[in-house]
Amino acid sequence: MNEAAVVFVRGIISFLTLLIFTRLLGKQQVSELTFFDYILGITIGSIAATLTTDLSSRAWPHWVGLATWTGAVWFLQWITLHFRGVAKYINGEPVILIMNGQIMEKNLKKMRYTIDDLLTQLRHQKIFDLKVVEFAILETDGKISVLKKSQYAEVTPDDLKIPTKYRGLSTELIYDGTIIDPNLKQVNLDRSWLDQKLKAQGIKSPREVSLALLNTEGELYVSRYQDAGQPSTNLRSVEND
Amino acid sequence: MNSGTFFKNYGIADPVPPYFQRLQTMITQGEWREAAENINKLELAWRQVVPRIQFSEERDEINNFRHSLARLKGYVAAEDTGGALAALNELEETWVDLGK
Repeated sequence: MNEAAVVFVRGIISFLTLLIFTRLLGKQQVSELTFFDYILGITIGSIAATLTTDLSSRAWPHWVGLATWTGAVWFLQWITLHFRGVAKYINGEPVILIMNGQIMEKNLKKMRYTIDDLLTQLRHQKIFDLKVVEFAILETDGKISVLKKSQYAEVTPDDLKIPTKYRGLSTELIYDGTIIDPNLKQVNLDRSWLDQKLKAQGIKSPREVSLALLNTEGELYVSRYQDAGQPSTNLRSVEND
Repeated sequence: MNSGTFFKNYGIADPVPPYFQRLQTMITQGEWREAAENINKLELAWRQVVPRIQFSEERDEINNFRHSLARLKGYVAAEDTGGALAALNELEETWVDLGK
């Protein structure tokens, strides 16, 4: 029995299975995971690792275990999407830790959260003085959302009645040296316009460009592979110079 | 992952199961030299099976078969009918369990 070959094949099976299963479970960000989601992820990963290296048992039962846990997570996700009441029980609810500038000690205790934890989280949000805070809410992912008192809120152009221009998403026109024709068509432009713009910046071919973006104001941002005249960003080479 | 049951029996030039009956007859009739030769042939047949089933079967089951085979060789060399039959039955049981 060639154990290395068996582990290699099982590893490929686990890898592809995880790839498919994680696709099935959607694109929830790690930062948005609740503690329960986090534990579920660890368990599924652990089963996949056992499937790869535990040769004392057959691959099939491990794969069934992996499918079962993924199915359970998928089912839980489905329930939380369709039944808000159940979702509140499973994911928990946001809890108010500061209300109208006052710390809610009972809620802190209930959430096993210390005042030090609260102050640390506030400092992460660049708040060093509690008098600035009107509301602080502990979200289900363990992070804190803060609403500042109106007198300490950031001023926006709308507050000052300053007119602003529309700012939409930029369009990729060149990626990794290749012109993206569908995007060019989408913004009613063609290759001759792009060539002209590139020549104006001293670029002879799109192959010299790693990324070219067109913003909603019609400005073209170009990043070249060879950043001529740019100082080296390699710290070691800077030190040696 | 469940291919072991299929691959242990199909597409093998010299299949393993017929050896069990053949060896049992030889051991009960005291044909020790023939039994020893057949065990060697069984070992070669088993070596053909292992690469085909190793990806789906437990390592311990594969090792158990090898160990039972070694035990059977010893009993046959010692011309011990009881021990040889016990080892042969163990071997057959391990074979049946492969893929279950």
